[in-house]
Amino acid sequence: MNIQEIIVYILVAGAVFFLLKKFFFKKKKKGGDCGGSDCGCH
Amino acid sequence: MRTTLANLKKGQRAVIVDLNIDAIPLKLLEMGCLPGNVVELLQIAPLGDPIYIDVNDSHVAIRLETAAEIDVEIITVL
Amino acid sequence: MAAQNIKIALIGNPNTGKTSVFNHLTGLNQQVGNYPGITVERKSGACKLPNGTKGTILDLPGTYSLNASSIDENVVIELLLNKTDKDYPDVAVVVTDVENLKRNLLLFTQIKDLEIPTILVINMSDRMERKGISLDIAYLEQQLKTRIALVSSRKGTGIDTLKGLIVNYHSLSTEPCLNASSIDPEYFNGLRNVFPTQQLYKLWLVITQDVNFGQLERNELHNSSFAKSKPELKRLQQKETIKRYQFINDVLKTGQTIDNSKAKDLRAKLDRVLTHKVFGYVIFFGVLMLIFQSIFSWSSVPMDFIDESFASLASYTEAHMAPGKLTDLISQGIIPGIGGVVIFIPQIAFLFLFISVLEESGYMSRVVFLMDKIMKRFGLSGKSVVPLISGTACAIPAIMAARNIENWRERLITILVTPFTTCSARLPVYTILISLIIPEKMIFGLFNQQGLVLMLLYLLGFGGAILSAWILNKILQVKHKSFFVAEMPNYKLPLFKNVVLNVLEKTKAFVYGAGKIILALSILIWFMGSHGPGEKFSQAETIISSQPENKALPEDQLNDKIAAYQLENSYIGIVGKSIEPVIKPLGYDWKIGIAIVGSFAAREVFVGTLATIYNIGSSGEDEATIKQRMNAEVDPITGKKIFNFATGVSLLLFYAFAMQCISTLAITKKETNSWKWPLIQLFGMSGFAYVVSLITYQLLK
Repeated sequence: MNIQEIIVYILVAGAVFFLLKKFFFKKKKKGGDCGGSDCGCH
Repeated sequence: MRTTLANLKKGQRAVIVDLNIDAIPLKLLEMGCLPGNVVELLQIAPLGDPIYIDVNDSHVAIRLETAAEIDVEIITVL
Repeated sequence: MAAQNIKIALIGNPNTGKTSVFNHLTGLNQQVGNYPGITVERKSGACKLPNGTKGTILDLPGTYSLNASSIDENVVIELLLNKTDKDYPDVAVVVTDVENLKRNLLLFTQIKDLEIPTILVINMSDRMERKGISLDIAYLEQQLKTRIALVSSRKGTGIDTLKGLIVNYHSLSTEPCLNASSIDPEYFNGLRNVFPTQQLYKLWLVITQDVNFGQLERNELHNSSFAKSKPELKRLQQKETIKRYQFINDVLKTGQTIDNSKAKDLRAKLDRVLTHKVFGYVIFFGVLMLIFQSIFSWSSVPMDFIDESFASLASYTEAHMAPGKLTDLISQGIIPGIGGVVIFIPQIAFLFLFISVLEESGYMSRVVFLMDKIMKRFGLSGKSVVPLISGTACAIPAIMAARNIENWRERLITILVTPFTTCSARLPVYTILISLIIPEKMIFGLFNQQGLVLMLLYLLGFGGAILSAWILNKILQVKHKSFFVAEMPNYKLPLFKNVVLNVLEKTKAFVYGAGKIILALSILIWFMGSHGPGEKFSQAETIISSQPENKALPEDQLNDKIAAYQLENSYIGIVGKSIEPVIKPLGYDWKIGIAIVGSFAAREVFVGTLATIYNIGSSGEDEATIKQRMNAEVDPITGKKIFNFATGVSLLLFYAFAMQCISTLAITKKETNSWKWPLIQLFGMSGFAYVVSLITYQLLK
């Protein structure tokens, strides 16, 4: 595995983690974050 | 002449005499829609409702059904 | 005195220019966030004060009084009643409009009753002369037991005076201006005896409101003999309001003189035209036309530029980075994905610009007035116009804007139907589809045909909203008193600075909010598209080149075929193929299916997703824009264009009606406090979209 592949896998894992957090585990942390700059509105 | 705010004509001024407090939102009272204050009917919406009044220097639009709960004494007869 | 930080709360009625004062005090040092747990915008900023002192300014939501009737107003009371809150102000700055001084002072007297050091800002002082208003500041300061700053946020005058007063807040009186408890001495004396340590006015607010007060025990108050029935309380509140106005009128009788001959003016003239039974509606329709035309024509230049820049950036990266997976990810996944968001910054900025101008100028209130009767017929309120129009930017702030609607039933229907309006996230989808299926032609040499179709889609969105409101109005069994009170503010030329700040802030929020999701999704989609299980994926090259019919193909065509075969057998291809049966009747292939699935995270992902998929699906280093790639897609079996007229229209309608935004569902849940309503939105809207698209495609194909 070369360095490019390693970076790609890290990025993919990061992306998956981010999306899961955003849409499935947001209730606890993201209580009322909507409407602000980080609300994912859209 | 005594009537309700809903029956005022455009441009008419009247003094508020009494109002049905249960049917009037508190916000309207706070804007100055209170007994003793002068009210002027500025505009009637093209379709007849709501109306646009100047009361106590507040310019507000209210619906006729609310206006009908406010008794007034007309001071300018058109 | 160094390192002192004064906490300042900015309070005031709506339409008093509070935000302009805030902008003057803080400049660009602003932070916009939310109050924890609720979706009320929290704006704060840093301010440099004289003598090296620093200030932190909190811009509280506009409120007419301390009797809260919405969540936004609750924020104000909860903060002012809770001395332990980290934002509890050292000094309150109440902003008033010189033309509405009487009404604005009501809130001021309430704040004074809380015994917080308070400064009175009389804003719009530049209009005094024209309106024939003169003030006896010294007298007012003495009667109102405060210091006054005469400010013009338009001209930027008086801000230094205000800063000077803030620094010296210690010298402000904390004495109430009037004795509100005299409205029912017996009752208030009783209260005072039972709770000797509490402020009387604070107790009264706790009794009359539904707000959280931390350590102060609500229940204790409610179970005691101080419980009163709602009508009784309201009567007392009325008495309190009358009492306050008596005081204010007395003060203003001496402190303010108005030359009435100058008073009647522009407002009356403009009102006559803008709420006219013919011109009123003509103007309103004209304004809408202008918005949609400009979104389409004015922004097309920067959009084409952005589109091409990203396409060449991608090919440049591909050519200049060392070949490998990361290079592929960047050039095929990340760059086209990001390009899909950046491309519609111009349109969003235009939209926010128009909405903010309409709101600031006072025109929006006239539209509310014009539309109320019509909207009422559909179970909505005139105030629903504001969410429906701002829904063209984003449904989330729009649904929050529905808080202004007094009547719960009208508010609920507004919340439910607002997502039908064409939000900015649908724009890139519409834009690209329209440019593919509608020829660019001028009609009457005046209107761009593509612009007209776009306008039609917007009308369709409003139509969908109105129609479903009408249906909901028939079936919903929620009963509620019909209240409607809409302030008609004075007309104002919108302040350039306010508008620009607002547009910047909203656009930034949009790009960051959506950008992160889109970035993550494009990485994921690229990965799933360029990896696959089994031999069909890994041996694609051998399989395709060994097929007899491909033997004679030139090299580049062969490579394209291999890439397409790989994509079909990649993870994403498998997912797409599995949903294809459901969407096939609507005229979509599996690639479009993937883009639709991605759209549930954010609609605008559609374009980026297709860009990524088509990029993977082509072998070449050719520099093509998203549009060119979409136009070149053909059905492998029939050889017909994928984005033909029937599929295009069917897709447009699907995006017009379907509920595809998780964030909107979340906000509906929050605002209605129930899962029932977001689920109704999700299934109702998407089901409707499916049926409409199905019928359309089957008729057109």
